[in-house]
Parts: sequence; C-alpha cells; structure tokens
Amino acid sequence: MAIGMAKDTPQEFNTLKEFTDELDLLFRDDVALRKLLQKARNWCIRNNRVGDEEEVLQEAVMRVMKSEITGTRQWPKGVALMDFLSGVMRSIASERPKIGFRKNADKDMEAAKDIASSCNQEGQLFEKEFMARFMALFEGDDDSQLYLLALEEGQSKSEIMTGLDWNEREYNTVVQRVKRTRNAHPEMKEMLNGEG
Amino acid sequence: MAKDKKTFQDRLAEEIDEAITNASDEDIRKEAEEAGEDIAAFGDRMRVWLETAKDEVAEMAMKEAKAAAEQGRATRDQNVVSMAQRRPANRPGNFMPDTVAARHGKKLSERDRKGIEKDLEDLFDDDAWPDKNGDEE
Repeated sequence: MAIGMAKDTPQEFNTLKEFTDELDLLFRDDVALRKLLQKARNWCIRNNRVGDEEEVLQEAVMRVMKSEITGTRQWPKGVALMDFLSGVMRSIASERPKIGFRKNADKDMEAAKDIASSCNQEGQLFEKEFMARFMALFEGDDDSQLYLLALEEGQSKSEIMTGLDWNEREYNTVVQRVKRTRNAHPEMKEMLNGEG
Repeated sequence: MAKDKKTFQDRLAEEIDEAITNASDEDIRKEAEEAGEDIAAFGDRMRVWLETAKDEVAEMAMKEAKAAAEQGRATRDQNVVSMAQRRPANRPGNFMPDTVAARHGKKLSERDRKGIEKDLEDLFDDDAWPDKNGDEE
C-alpha cells in the first residue's frame, strides 16, 4: 500500500537556493565530488561518451537549476542530491538518436523502419561481442567472470549473492574490481567508439 | 530471476553506480590517488563554474518574466477593466450607520421627515441668504 500512499502525497521539491547551497558543499567535499565524478564517468562509459564526464555533470546541474523556469528536473525533497544528480546524468548521457534517423535522407517511414531493424540486430550482435571481449579482461578471475555471467542472465544482487554464496563485502569487492577494470581499459573505449 | 529489457551493459552500469554509492571513503581516495586525479582543482573549477551558471540562470529567469509580462500586455483586450462589485460584508451587531435613513432602514421617522422639510425650506428661503454683493437688505 506504500505506493498508493505515495501517490496521494503531493511531491515537494527543493528550491533553487537549496540546490545550489547543497551543491556548493558537495563541490568542497573531496570524497563526494570524486563519487559524483565517478558516477558521471560510469554513465558516459555506458553511453559511448568517454571523456564527456565534466560536460555531462555541468549539463545535469544546469537542467536542475533551470527547473524553476521549465518546471522539469526538480530535486525532490528527501532524495539524496548525489542519487538525484546521478539519475539526471544517466538520462543526459543516454540522449542520442535511437535509430540514427537522418533528417533529410530518411524522409519516409519505411526507410526509418529498416534502419531501426538493422540497428536492433546490430545492437544485439554488439552486446554479444562486447560481453565476450569484456569477459576476456577477467581471464583467471573466476569470481568476476561468474558475477558477469550472472549479471548477463539478469540475476539480481540477492540472487547472485545466494547463488555464489557471497556475503555483502565479497560481493562489493568483486563489483569494485569489475568497475576498476572497466575504467582502466582504453581498448574497450575504442570498441565502444566503433574503432575496435 | 529478474528478466527485463535491460542489456548487460545497462545492468553493469547500474551495479557500478550502486557500488560507487556504497564505496568507503578510503576506497574512493585510494582509487583517486591511483588515477592521479587532482580533485581539489576540479572542485575549484566547478565552484567557479557554478557561480557563472547561477548568473546565467538568473538572467534567463528575468528574460522569461519579461517575455511573460509582454505577452500578457499584448494579449489583453483593454487597458481598463471593470472591477468586481464590492458587496458589504456582514455587519457586526454593534455597527451604527452614519445616515439617519440608514439607521432606520428604508423608512424615515416622522421627526426625520419634518427635519428634512425644514432643511429644504431654509435652503429655498432667499431671505435666509446674503445677496450677491454681500450686502444685507
């Protein structure tokens, strides 16, 4: 019933001043700022925008600041600023044409459908290729490989922990290892950029 | 098992986002040192940028407000608009009106009527007024 109750409660938002004050504090906190930058990097890597972290972070902040004018992207009360900004950055980093529709060249819908279909197939192939290359980075690291296979299957954190008999600490250690490897391999970046 | 439309990369990115949230201060600092990040410089740069962004947004808000005011003026039919008719509020019990008639409702008392007649007689009695030159006859 919690969902129903939440619907009945009007959403309250922080003001622009509350947002900028909190952000100023965050920018002075080295650990929080590093986390924010890592989150920006994470969404950029995911969306083939490696190197755009600062731009994505600034765009996220601007959109929230403009929310008093536009009425969108307001920071809800009770939501941690870091989590909120991470969501906005994720959205911004993923903004790109879904099917590569070219304004002047693809005027009819049939052409657009063909492109969409081929993009979907390419996407699936790319996912498989990405997975194979990514797994190869963890040669000899059985825990990481098992974790990635479980993740590919769509298993949740609790399912993975139960299935592999890991506690929270063991789980987090593996995820941290995977994160570091992902950040540290420029060849994955090249592959994501279509150069691999 | 949770099956959804998310790709492997989506799930991996979500897991990493959560891992960053849950990472200890020590882990974050250690990782930043290894990466050679100058986070203090980055923080300084972001704070300077934030100040310029605030100005930009304030200017934008001002332009929006001006545009809205212009739009309001342009679309309004007339400059003079009728005001809503004011109705007397409920009067408290001890309220005393200024005029006699109002004090007695619509009807005048006999004494009021005689008083009014006397006032009118005085008003139209030429002898009761000085002449135009101010000379008394």
